[in-house]
Amino acid sequence: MKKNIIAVFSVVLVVILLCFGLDIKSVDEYYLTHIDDIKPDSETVFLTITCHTVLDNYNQLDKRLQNEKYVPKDGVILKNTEYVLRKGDTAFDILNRAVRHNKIQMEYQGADKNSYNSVYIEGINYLYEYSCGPLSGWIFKVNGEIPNVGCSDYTLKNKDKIEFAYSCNLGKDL
Amino acid sequence: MTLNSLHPVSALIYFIAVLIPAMFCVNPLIQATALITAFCFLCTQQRLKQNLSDLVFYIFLFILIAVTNPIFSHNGETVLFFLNDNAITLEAIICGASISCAIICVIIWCKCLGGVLSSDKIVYLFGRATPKTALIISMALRFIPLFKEQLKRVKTVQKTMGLYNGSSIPDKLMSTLKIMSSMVTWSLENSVELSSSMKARGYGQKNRTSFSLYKFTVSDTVFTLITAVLFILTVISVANGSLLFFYYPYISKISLSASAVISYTAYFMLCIIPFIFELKEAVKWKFYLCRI
Repeated sequence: MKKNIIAVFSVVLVVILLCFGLDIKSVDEYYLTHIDDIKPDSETVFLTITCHTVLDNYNQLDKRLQNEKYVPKDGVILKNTEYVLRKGDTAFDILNRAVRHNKIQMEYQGADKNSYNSVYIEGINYLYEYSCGPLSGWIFKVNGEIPNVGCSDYTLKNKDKIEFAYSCNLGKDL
Repeated sequence: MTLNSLHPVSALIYFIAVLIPAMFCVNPLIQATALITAFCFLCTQQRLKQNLSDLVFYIFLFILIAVTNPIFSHNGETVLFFLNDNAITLEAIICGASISCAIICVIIWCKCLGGVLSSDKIVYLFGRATPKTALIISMALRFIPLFKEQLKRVKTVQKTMGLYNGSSIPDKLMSTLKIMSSMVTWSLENSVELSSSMKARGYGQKNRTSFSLYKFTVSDTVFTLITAVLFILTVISVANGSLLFFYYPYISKISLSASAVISYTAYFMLCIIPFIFELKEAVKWKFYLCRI
């Protein structure tokens, strides 16, 4: 009997510990992100999210995504917007804050889950990697250049212009 | 006539024709048809008690797979809540349910296949062309029933010897673990023994012939033709895209166009055949009993 009680107790303990690791948020709670107000002296960056290349390769695009809801006609998912730069913010932090604030769907692979130790953006606005041909996916540019590091390793400076763009050919078409 | 009394070739063709749409066609109606008919057929092959315990296992498996999918897949428009900042969506849950349906239905059909195509039939089918593959297939199909039987035997012997007889949960777990470890050794040894014993009998050699009583009769031909026609009717709609169904980013509607409906009916007819055979035999049996 004693052994039974100990076994049940330890199982319950493990379940409770697991539950502490879970962080459940409702949809509204998740999208309720605080965006700092822009003051005259605050440092800012600009962010755009585009998918122009998809429009050029529309016949390659997954049939279920051939809808204006997922690929806007002008190819702009988030138009150029100014965001306040907090100290030590990376490109990913700004993107995460912006998509949450604008309620744009995004899925990413965490930095601890791949061998590059950097966040990998799998999909934005239901437009995923490989959705438009085998060489397609999301790429980010800062001031018009594609950096050689992942988006969560790139620390931003004042007045940087960040663009997350969908590429259909490994970034060669951007 | 039942599936058991058919020629092994037509039975094999039948199972392949049923399994291909069940495995590769992502359409809820096709999957539901395959699942329900498979379970109907399985019920005629086993006792009620066995069926019930199987059902419990399948429900457990269903829930396990259906819950696992949304943890790893976050695509989908209808977000229910966020778990550790990852979206848990309705689409992912339904997609998980559909995947688990497909897996369970393939498991049940393979179980039925294992019952219908016994070891001698498999060796007859593949023995001459690929003796090694035939032996491996027949051993693989026989593995789980044999394992279960031996497990029961070992457990009983241990109990009669008075070993591992504690009543608490940890004691039971430990005893099962010990028995399982011995079972793994036994099954490895058994397979080695079996293959060397087959070799000693000259299995797989060119000059060795094996006796079999199977003759391809007219009814076998008719059955195979019907299977082929129904299979082609099913697959045509898969090829022309009218059975297309997807879960991400939103769940598409079930297609009810003419060619899709033809495909559903053809597949239902294909899948229900063995159950009707068994039902007919059962009715016949009752009828003969009444006449005694």
